[in-house]
Amino acid sequence: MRAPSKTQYNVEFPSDPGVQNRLERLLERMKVDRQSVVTTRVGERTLVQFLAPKNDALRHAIKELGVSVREELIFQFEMPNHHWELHKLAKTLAAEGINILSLYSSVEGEQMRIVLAVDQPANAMALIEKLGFEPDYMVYD
Amino acid sequence: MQRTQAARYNIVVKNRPGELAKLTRLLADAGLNVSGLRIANLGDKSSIQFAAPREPERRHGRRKAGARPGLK
Repeated sequence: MRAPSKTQYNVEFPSDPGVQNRLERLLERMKVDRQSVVTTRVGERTLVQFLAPKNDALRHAIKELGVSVREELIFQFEMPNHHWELHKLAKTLAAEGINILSLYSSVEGEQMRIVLAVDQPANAMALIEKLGFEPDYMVYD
Repeated sequence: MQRTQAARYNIVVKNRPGELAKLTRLLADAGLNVSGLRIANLGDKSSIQFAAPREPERRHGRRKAGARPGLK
C-alpha cells in the first residue's frame, strides 16, 4: 500500500461571500495545487472541499481566516460503472456502520473512479478489497 | 445516435451510515447509472449530488411496472 499522496481539506464557515473570497485569495496566493473543488451550502453553512498535497502551513493559514478546517484521509479505487455495483459498495459500508465523510466520483468509460473519505478507513479499505477492488491511498489527478 | 437526457440531483439526508445505501438501492431498482456522484457532510446533514439519466438505460427486472425513482 502506498503512502497518502493528498489530503482532503474541508473548510467550513457561515455562508458569507466575503469569507469565501478570502479563502480563494489565500489559496491563490499560496499557489495551492488543488483538485476536485466542491462547494456545498446547507442552510446557513458553507463547506468548501478540495484535494491538495498535505501542507501544515496551509492549514495554519486557513485557520487564521477564522474558519473551521479539518483534513481527511482519502483513498481511491475503481469499480465497474453499474448501479448494482455502487449499491453493493454503499450497502457493504453501511452494514459495518462506516460513515462516508466525503465522496467524489468520475466515470471513465466502463469504470467509475471513486475518491472516498470515511470514518473507519482501514476497515473500509479491507471491505472494498473483499469486494474485489483495489483501494489505494495514492490519489492521482 | 440516440441521446439520453440527464438531470442533476442534489439531495440532503441525515449524516449517518446507510443513507447512501437507501439512495443507491432506489437508483439500482430503477436501473439508473449515476455519474458525478459527490457527497459532502456538513454537521448533522449530508449533501448527495449526482447526475442520472431521466430514463433508465434499459428496463431492469427488479423494477416494478410504472415505478419511478422518488427523486425530483
